Amino acid sequence: MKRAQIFLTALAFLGALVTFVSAQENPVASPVIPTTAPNTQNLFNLQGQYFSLIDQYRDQEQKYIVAKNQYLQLNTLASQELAVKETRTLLTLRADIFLVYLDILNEELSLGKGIPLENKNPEQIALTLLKEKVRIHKTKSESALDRFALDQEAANFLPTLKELESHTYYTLSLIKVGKMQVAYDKLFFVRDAVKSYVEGQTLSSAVRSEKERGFAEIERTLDNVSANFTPVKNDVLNNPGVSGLSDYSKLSKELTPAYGQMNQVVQFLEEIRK
Amino acid sequence: MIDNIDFSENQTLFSEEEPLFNHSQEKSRVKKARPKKLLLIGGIVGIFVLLVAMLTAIGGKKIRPPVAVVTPTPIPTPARTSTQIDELMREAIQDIEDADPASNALPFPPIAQDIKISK
Repeated sequence: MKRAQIFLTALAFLGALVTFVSAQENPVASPVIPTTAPNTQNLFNLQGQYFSLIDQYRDQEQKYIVAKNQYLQLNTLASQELAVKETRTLLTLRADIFLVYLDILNEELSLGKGIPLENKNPEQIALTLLKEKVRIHKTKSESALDRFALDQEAANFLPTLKELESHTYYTLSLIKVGKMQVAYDKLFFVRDAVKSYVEGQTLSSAVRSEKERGFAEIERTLDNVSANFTPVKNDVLNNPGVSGLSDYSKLSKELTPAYGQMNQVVQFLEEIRK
Repeated sequence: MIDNIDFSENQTLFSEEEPLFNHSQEKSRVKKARPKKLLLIGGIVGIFVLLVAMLTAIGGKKIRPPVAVVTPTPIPTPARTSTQIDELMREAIQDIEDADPASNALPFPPIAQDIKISK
């Protein structure tokens, strides 16, 4: 009897032990976070939509110009009605273009690498808010029935248009700086790879010292890239939202020296690896 | 008062020697019944625990969601092959081409800003 009791107790203990070990081996799995693949397909679709809308806009623009001139010359109710209709359609199409364009910018920014999150995130929010303003403008334009209401809505949209332009150029500046940063970072990686490749080669001391001089030149050029690129980059990153076409053009010019030096580094690396 | 108390007349016997109660038959009955009950309860508990343990061990594996396989970041080998270097060079050239500051793939929409019916 006692033996049976001991056996059963041991059995229960063994069961508990198996449960415990099983729990230790298989801890509660943390939820799998789905990784979002870069949605480049979406970007292509948006670009297709954008160009299609631009084509429609060009056709509508002609209709608008003709109708408006006709109205201004004839000044009849019929010509006015037509001018109102064509203007309304044009305003709606223009709003659609801005909506898609903002989506493209947002997508490009989202996919863009080398841009600090503290710059990327607020800009994405700003673009989303702008999109909402454009959507409201579109709704108001669609419901405007006479020329006064339409002209008023078009005038009301002008400050938003300025805002839109400013954020567009700032976003484009961020994307540009981000691409430069990616290319710059890649150069260091490739330099290290080439260096280790050369070190693994059997070379004469003369060739080896020649390659070492080459690497030293690469170091100096990379330092120059940093000296030219870093202040320009910091200027963009530290002045969020402040941009226009002139700032954007200036940025392109300011990045050119660093860009040229980066090209030079690639050439040097290609020479060294031969 | 004293007459009412029931006591043994033989005062030379100690209480240990004299059985207080005569329950010998009941005791033997209990002694016989306990092992059977214990065996039954112990057996049920043991089998139950073992069953739970086995189900947890087997069933748990089926229910568990797939764990994301984390691939370790490849550590760059000291010496790369020529092909790998070519590939890296191509990537670097592509990145630099993408970063061309002169290019502007996304210009602001070239559309009229001042649209109105009146002059």
